[in-house]
Amino acid sequence: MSPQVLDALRRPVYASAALGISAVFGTLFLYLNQFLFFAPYFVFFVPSEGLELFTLDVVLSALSGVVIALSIFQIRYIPRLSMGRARAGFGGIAIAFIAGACPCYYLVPLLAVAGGAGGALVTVGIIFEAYQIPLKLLSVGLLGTVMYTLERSLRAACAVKPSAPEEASSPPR
Amino acid sequence: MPRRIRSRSGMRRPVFLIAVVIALALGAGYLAFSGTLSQSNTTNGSGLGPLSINSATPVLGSANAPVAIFEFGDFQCTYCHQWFLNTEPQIIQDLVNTGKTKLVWKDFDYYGPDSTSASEAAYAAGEQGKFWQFYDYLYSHQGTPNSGWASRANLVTFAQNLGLNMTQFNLSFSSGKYDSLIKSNFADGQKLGASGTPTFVVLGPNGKTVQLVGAQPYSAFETAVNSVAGG
Repeated sequence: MSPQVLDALRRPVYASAALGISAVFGTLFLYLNQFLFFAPYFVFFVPSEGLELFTLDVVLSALSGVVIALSIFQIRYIPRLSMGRARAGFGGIAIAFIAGACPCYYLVPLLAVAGGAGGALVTVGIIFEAYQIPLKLLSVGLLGTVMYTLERSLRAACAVKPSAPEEASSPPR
Repeated sequence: MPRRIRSRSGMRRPVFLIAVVIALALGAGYLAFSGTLSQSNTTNGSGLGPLSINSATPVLGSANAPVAIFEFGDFQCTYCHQWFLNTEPQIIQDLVNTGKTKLVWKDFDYYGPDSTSASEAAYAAGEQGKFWQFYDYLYSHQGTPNSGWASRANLVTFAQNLGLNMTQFNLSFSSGKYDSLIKSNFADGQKLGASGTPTFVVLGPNGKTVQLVGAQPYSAFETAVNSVAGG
């Protein structure tokens, strides 16, 4: 991780936000992919063939936490920066959710949706479930790109520019 | 002053995006956890209707076993396959073969027409005493859902590979005689609150039940079986 991103994450508020968001997303991803069970007993279980998916879930939840925390940092202190990066970050997180939020054990209620829409939703869910790994890899790629561009933009924003004296100073702690 | 106004309006969109992400997280969480909580009301003495066993219901293990594990599954479901690989072997070895439990299959087909065909074929194989061999064969050869791996033609080939009497198999497979059983099994699953596959109901001798949703490990089943057996 590059220094500017690290510098932002050294602030306790943003470090806590990143950790908290990662923990929430991680719990959700691991639950949705059946690595974590809450009922009837609390069980954590990673089968050997689920190792790839588990690793991707952990990486995605960590990246999601950091990207969201950094996006909040950017919005709070450097609002003049392009929002495209934040949008891309949220796009990556949305893909991660789509890929992870369609396991087959709760699709049946969708069949109750009126007309053929319920069946279509189930079909889409099944397709997403079948292609979870490529979708999650895409999501990791998007979030990684967002991290890189955030780092670059933070570095640029912190550089001294005569035309933008307010933003050139380092953000208040 | 104008700069501050611009900044605030610029912040609206990202705040909206954050709200969308949080809403997505909460929505997914609600869907997932509401399913679990509604199904975690684990004990009730009634409800044997959906858990009834008739002559067409495949049962593995001793009929006199005090505990029954009902599997509501779909042959195309990837998590059912995961459970078949990781959990079922130990259940058979430690719980079924020792006479503590029996394993009961109830199809809960919703992946598509191939799921229904797979169930019909498995029941047809069951007429020749080979339901569980067909079950094992299907899960061992599972492909991407709805990719055609469980097409009717492939299911006939699977039956041939298992050495079934093909005249008898084809007659049964094409008769549609299991349509009502498949529909009633699905209705049974819904009555029990199953929102998908795999869903398991562990039924004890006194009617006490524990429901397990998802491809849970052996330890969860062992605890559930001990819980209902003692109660």
